[in-house]
This record gives sequence, C-alpha cells and structure tokens, in this order.
Amino acid sequence: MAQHDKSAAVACRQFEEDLVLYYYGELGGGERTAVDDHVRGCEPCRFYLKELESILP
Amino acid sequence: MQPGDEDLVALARNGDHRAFEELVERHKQKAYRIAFDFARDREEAKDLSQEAFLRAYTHLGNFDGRSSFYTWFYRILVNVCLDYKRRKKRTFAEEFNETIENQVEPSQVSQKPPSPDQQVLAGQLSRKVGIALEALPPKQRTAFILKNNQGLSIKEIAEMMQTAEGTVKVHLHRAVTALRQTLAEFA
Repeated sequence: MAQHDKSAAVACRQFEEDLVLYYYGELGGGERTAVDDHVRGCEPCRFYLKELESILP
Repeated sequence: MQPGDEDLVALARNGDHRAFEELVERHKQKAYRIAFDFARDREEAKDLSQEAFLRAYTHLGNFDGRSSFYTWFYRILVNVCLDYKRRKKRTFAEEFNETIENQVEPSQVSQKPPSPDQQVLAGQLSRKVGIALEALPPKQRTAFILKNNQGLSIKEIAEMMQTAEGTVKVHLHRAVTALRQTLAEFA
C-alpha cells in the first residue's frame, strides 16, 4: 500500500486512474464497487479522493 | 413541441436562417464557456465561439447525423480553440497577466458575492489552475476542460477528440495528476 506524501496524497498506483474516473462518476457496476471496497480499507486512497474534491475547480 | 437540434439542422440546410439562429441560441452559452476555458479571455472566447458557429454553418452539409449536432458542433468548437492556441505566439505568462487580473469568470456571475477571504483564495486558486492548465499538453488540457469544466462524458469527449475512450481516460488521469501536484497546497 502506498504511503502518504507531504505535498500531495499518494494513492495506490493500480487504483489511481480509477480513482480519477470514480471522482468524475465515470465508473459503473463492478468497477465502481471494486473502488468502493478498496477505498473503504485504504486511507491513502480515501485521502487522495478527498484531495481531488478540494482542489479541482 | 420544440423541434430537436437535428430538425433545425435539416431546416437550416434548406436555407432557413432562423433555424440556425435557434441552434446558436441553444448552444451559445456552453460554447462561450468552453472557449473561455481555453482562451481565458472574454473577447477571445466570444470570437472563438462565433467562429465555431460560422464554421458549423458553412459546413452543415458535412453533418451526417451519426453523432448528435451537439457533439458535432463541439468538436468543431474544440478544434477552433486548439487552432487558436497554436496560432498564439505569446507565452502564457504574458497573456495571463493581461487577461486575468480584473476578470470575473462566467461561473461567478450572478452568484452571491464571496467574502474577501474567499475572493483571495478563489483568485489564487484560479491563477494556479490557469497556470497549471496552460502547462499541460494540448490533448490533456482538452480532455480535462471538457470533463472537469464542461461535465461531458468520457464517451462524448472521445467522439469530439476522435480518439478512443481509453486514450481520453489516460489524458484525463495525467492531467489531474499534473494539476494536483500544482494545486495540492490549496487543499
């Protein structure tokens, strides 16, 4: 699992692209569920998502 | 019942100018916002959106109905915007200084006035976004603007950019990665 970075959240590499699509509501069905399940147990990925919400206009 | 876009296109192709004017009315606000996202200048955005409508009008014969008029037109608009960026010789720093200082973004019009602190933060964030966006490669910037600012689906963006949905996803991811590196300090 990835570690936090001081300047920006670091998500798990294999989930990073999906997290961006998840943020934009572009994942459906199983993909969305998989990210939901992962994010529930992964603090860095939760932090990454929260960061996207904060910084994207 | 109002005619659909494609009905208006059919009428316009038969010389009904009012039908095309109606299409312009329907889409001009969104067109302006997209153009503004690229140009970040009100007058330029107005010119670019008008140029896109003019180009659409003169090429109506090429609209084959395989996509919606909306998709077809916005592809033209994005191309007009990208051409504009290519033509522009000045650096972003120069154009940024000239256009951003007293600028109110369209999304801020008619909203409750923000507090002074919010204005400062929004201004800083807006500048950061502008600078970070400008530094992106054109395809990443296009994918990001169409997704983040215009709310189009990956499928629609892929149609507009005439590329695969997977490619759009990669552009979007790379754009977000680059932007968040720049903007993280505002989180």
